[in-house]
Amino acid sequence: MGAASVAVDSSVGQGLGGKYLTFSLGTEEYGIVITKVREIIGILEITAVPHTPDFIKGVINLRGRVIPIVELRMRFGMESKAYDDRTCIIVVDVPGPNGTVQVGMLVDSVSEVMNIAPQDIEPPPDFGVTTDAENIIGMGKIKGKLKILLDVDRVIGRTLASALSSLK
Amino acid sequence: MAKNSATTIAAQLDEMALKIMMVEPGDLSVVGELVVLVEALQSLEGIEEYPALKRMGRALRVVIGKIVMNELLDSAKNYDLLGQCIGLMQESYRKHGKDDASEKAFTLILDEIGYVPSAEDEAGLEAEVPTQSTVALPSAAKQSTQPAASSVPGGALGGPPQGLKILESPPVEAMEFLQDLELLTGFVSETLEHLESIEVNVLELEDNPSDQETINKIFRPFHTIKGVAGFLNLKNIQKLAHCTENLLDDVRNNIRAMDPQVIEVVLKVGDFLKTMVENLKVVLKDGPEQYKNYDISEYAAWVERVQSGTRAEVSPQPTLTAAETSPVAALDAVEQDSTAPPSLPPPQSQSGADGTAPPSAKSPAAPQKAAVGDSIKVDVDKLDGLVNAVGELVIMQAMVRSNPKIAVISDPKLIKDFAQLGRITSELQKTAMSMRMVPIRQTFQKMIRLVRDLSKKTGKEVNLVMEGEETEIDRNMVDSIYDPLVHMMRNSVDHGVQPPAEREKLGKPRSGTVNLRAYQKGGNMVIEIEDDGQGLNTEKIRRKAIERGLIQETDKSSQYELNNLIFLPGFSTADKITDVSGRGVGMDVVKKAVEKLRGKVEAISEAGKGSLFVIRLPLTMAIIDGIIVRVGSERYIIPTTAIQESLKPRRETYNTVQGKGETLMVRGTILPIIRLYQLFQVEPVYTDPCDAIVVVVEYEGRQRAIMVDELLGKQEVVIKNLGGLSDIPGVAGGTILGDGRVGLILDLAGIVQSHSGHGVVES
Repeated sequence: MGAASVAVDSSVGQGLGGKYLTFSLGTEEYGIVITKVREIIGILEITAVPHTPDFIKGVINLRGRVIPIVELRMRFGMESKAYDDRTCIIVVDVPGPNGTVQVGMLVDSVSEVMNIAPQDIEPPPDFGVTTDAENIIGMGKIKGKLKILLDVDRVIGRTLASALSSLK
Repeated sequence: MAKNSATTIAAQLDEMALKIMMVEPGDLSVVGELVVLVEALQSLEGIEEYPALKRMGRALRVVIGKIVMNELLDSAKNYDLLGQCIGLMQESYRKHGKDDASEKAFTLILDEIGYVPSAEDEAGLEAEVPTQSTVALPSAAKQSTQPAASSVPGGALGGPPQGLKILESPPVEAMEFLQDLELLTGFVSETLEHLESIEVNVLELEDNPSDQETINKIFRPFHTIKGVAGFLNLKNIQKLAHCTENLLDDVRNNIRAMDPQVIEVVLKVGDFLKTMVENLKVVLKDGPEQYKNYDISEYAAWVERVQSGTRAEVSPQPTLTAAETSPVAALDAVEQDSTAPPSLPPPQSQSGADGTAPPSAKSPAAPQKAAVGDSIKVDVDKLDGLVNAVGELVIMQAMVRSNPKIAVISDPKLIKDFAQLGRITSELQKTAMSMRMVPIRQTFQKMIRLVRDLSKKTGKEVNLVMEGEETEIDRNMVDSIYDPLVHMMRNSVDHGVQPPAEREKLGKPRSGTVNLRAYQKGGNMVIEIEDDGQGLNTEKIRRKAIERGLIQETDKSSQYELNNLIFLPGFSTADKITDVSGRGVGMDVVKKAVEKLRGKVEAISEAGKGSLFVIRLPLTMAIIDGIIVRVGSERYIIPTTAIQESLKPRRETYNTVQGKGETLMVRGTILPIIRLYQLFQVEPVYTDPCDAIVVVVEYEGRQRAIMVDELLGKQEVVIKNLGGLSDIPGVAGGTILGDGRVGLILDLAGIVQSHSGHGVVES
């Protein structure tokens, strides 16, 4: 019996195990696959871009490249919070309309890079009609703490695309 | 969402419209590109909302397929009709499918081409679509009626029309040229260059048939192509190049003269070689299943006939061999059906069928790098990387210099060094930028051929006079300017210049003149196309505009304004009122293509005397000249080209209309005011226009006064895209300002449109 339940668990976590970069938004801890992360930088001056949704804070100059910044708190409908010295921008690669683009995710603070084993990952909880759950690929359990594992392509890439097309 | 997909549909239709302009009878490669576009249109998101459009697209696809398969005529007239069809599709799209008149007209035109829709076509298409979504045209078209497997046993497929010899397509392992892809890539690009130079030299030779040096310049590239093709085992290309080389050798050795027949051979063979090499390009991109085994025997025989003095009546059309189905697909089919006899002949019999190896096959096999001056070829990505890095260097240098801690140091040595550093970096930037510039010569030279062919076809006599071929243009723009230029040249020859007899009656010289000029002026590249033909019929344009509700009966637009109405969408599509429509495709596609390059196009014309079309383009896509303005804490860049003046409004010139619209009287003109802070939702310093500054801009003849807090200065800025944020209304892009922050570049088209109360053109 026990063996069977383990098998179910591992099939959920199959292919999901690996290194994750974890960060926090308020009291919640999140994780994203490390291979998506390009770099982590401190907060820079952001130029606002008109006619974009709230959660797109604007654009920054990343060593001569202009990249958009998504405030993850607002993306998830959470309260915005004043920036402090722990505020970070995680630059990730996401699929854009013409190939991969870099996008900065504004988060409260970056925690660490950790290895999460497949058997420690559970399927995302069923929140009923809450659609945002589809951004979650699973829940990581590390030492009794929950890490919400995000699908970056969906959270950033797809939202960016649909947000931009709806503004026209 | 829906709107977004709608814009892509419009863009796709525009591209199709441009493409049909490029199609020449006998040139299947362009037709192939057209089919790819039509198929892409069918699978666009949101196309389902336009059922009429989708139906028309499907029918169009079938008809083009039939043309390729020779079931319908591969004639200029049919392509003209197809062009009208695409025009109707654009029309239908603009009306959002509400008016089925376009579809009816569409069906009538198809009828004229000789196409009667049948269930079989539909079925064939349906069956084909899922598997063949990306295939280039000719093979796809044939496969739609012939199952791939049946073509494996050689010759089972009915012989191509004109009863040509059927060649087996080689099995994939026999396609030896695929062994060294790098070499093949080099061959493709080099051969295309060679073919271009051949064409140019041949045309030169037409004027001066005995110039030995020019003959050599034509001979050598054929020799090189033959050599490398032989090395790569591209037998078709090698053989064709070889027999043409033999013919040219006779000319070189004064055995025969460079007569029109030889010139015809060289041009046609050049075209055919190009078709084959273009196919190789597709193979490199999409895999060996795209390979088409062209049958060159007819051509080779023709060339040999010409060489031995036999009069060849007509030049043959490039034809695919029956076995053009991709070898890979064929192999797949064999694998799937293991009982199928191994009917593929060994590679040796292939070369045997090709005829004996040319005597000079031992000729230099290694690719001879054409030594063009002292230049080298550089990967475009590397070049772009360099230009970007240099741009950053310039900005960094300025940032370090203006760092407050450094700025206070008054050490003369440091100041001198900074000055030196500044000089070096700006020199470096200039050089890096110039590396991306290429003379427009190549593009212009392609026009020689175009005009030659067009004038032959239309029976008109046209002199093409070119000036300023050395003018340099950003290499990223060269390709994009080609299509609109072709469209406009076609217009000038087709519709501008009158036939010789008519010209004589009018007291003009028999042969018309088309001037093609390029020059730089005030940071712009200007291309002018001028003909001494009949000019635009302003009165007809005016009537048409009134009919369309674009202007009022009482409107007193100047002749210039009326003439430029031809650039509006839907203006010259469905009918020929303006007399400036090529293939029923409007001039609006030209305008859109030019505007994409941040350029402008205008028409100046005098009835009876001729027309002048002026295209103004920025020298480079990478840099614009802009005025930096500040609104609250944000800074924006307004492109200088659009700015007319800036001023501090006086109270008495300011008026409101119905309490809402605000206007400003500037030099007797009433201009609507756009409060930039309102449009962009930022906190301004001034909310009273009389405290602020207004910048008067002009876009498409519409003037607006844009209200900002302050002007900060003029600067050349490097345009960057905003990462994943594209198509934001009113924003053309971003740039990095002196302090390292991003400034947004305004897109005046978007700003003016988002704020336009009147002047709405589209219905």
